[in-house]
Amino acid sequence: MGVELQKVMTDYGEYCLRVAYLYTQDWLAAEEVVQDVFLAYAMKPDNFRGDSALKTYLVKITVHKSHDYLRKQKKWWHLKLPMTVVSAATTVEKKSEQTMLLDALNQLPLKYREVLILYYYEELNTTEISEMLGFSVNTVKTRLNRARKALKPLLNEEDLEVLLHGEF
Amino acid sequence: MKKIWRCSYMENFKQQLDDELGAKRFDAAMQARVTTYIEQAPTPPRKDLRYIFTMIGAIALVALFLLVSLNPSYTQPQISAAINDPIKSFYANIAEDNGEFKVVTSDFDLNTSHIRNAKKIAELQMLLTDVTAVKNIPKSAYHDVNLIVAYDNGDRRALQFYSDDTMHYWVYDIATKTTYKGAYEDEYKSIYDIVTINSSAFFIFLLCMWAIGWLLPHVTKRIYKRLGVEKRSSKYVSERHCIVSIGSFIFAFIGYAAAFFIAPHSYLYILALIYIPFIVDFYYEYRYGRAYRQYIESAFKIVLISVVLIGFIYGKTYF
Repeated sequence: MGVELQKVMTDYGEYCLRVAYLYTQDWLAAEEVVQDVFLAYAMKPDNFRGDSALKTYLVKITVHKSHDYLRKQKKWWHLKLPMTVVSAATTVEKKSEQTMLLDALNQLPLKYREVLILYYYEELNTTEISEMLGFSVNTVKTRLNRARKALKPLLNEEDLEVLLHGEF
Repeated sequence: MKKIWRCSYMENFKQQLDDELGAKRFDAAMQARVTTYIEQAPTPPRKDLRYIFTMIGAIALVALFLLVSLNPSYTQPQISAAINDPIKSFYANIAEDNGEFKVVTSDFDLNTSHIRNAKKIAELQMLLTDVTAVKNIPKSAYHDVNLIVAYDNGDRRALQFYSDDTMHYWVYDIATKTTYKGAYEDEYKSIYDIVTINSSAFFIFLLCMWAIGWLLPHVTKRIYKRLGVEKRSSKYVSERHCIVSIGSFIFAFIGYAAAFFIAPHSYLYILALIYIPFIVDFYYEYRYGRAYRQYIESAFKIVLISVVLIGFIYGKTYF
């Protein structure tokens, strides 16, 4: 295993894991996604041509792998057992944290959630998002608008306010 | 200007989300697990051969179809039926200037029509009944139509039809090398009208083609809407897809033009070249852009081309 790969993992592992979690809403699934991300990177390192930052490249793989994971979950949903047992640690952890925004985000459909993640969390612009997801820029803008409208009622007035209005 | 969401206790969305996601989780232990996972992962084959074999199979199938149905020349067998015996059906095409006999007995040759229309068969029967044997065909007569007549008793006879401006026609029997002469009566249709597709039927066919072309985008749009598929911003999956697609269209077009001169009687096989760009498109969409489901449209086009070709063959036979 190359030293370079270890460095890439150290530098961007946490970031990819967080992105994967925002998609999958499950830390175990996120770890699974991240494993696939670095496996893909390790198998074909030449695919990264340096057109963008390595971080953006890895995020792109993470987004695609997360989609793959969610698609598989959707395909095999009937084989899954209902989650009835929640670990005490998780409950305590949840209660101890203020996760207002995260909970609100998780209530949104994936197509709205992902544009918010990519736009606000990844800080990509609408053109970059459209290239990454394969949609038109207008679709991305529309989804962003709808996502924000959908997010608004899920957050308290105190927690959220729109600062500035304008174009994306 | 950017539109930004602000949360009361955090300066921006990213900061708050990072805080809510909690402490760092990608620790040394997780990194070790990922490393082990990568080390233990099986090395994938250099190329995914499934798709390559699928494509080779599809092309081989088309080639096999062409070979099986290829019937470029016709050899006249010994026959017992008289020229005016009851006709079951006939194969016909318009004669070319070089006088070659290029009728084939395949239903899958666009240049040859296998006619089973009862009215047309009766009209041809009348033309072949009212003939008398003559020595030769005058030089002023021009070669009109080539025919292979299938009789009720199973025999087939190759005939060449000639006409002139004086409303007479001559029939040359290739089997017996006999020439017959007849005159078009008022109620007779010319042999040319008999073998060509009914103009109203052809108009309906063109109308159907136009309707299909017009409906296709609407139907695919509906399908994608129902499947919840967003239209992709780019037409092609990748740059290579673009190059290969355009290349295959050019190849098909050049191949069509070349084959038209090399084997002009085999229209159907030449038209089969149309499939190539659509098969290539389907391959790239299915192999590399399956998530966008644009391959449905490619497959739909392949099916439509087949429907149009079959419709054309059916139309020539019965109208």
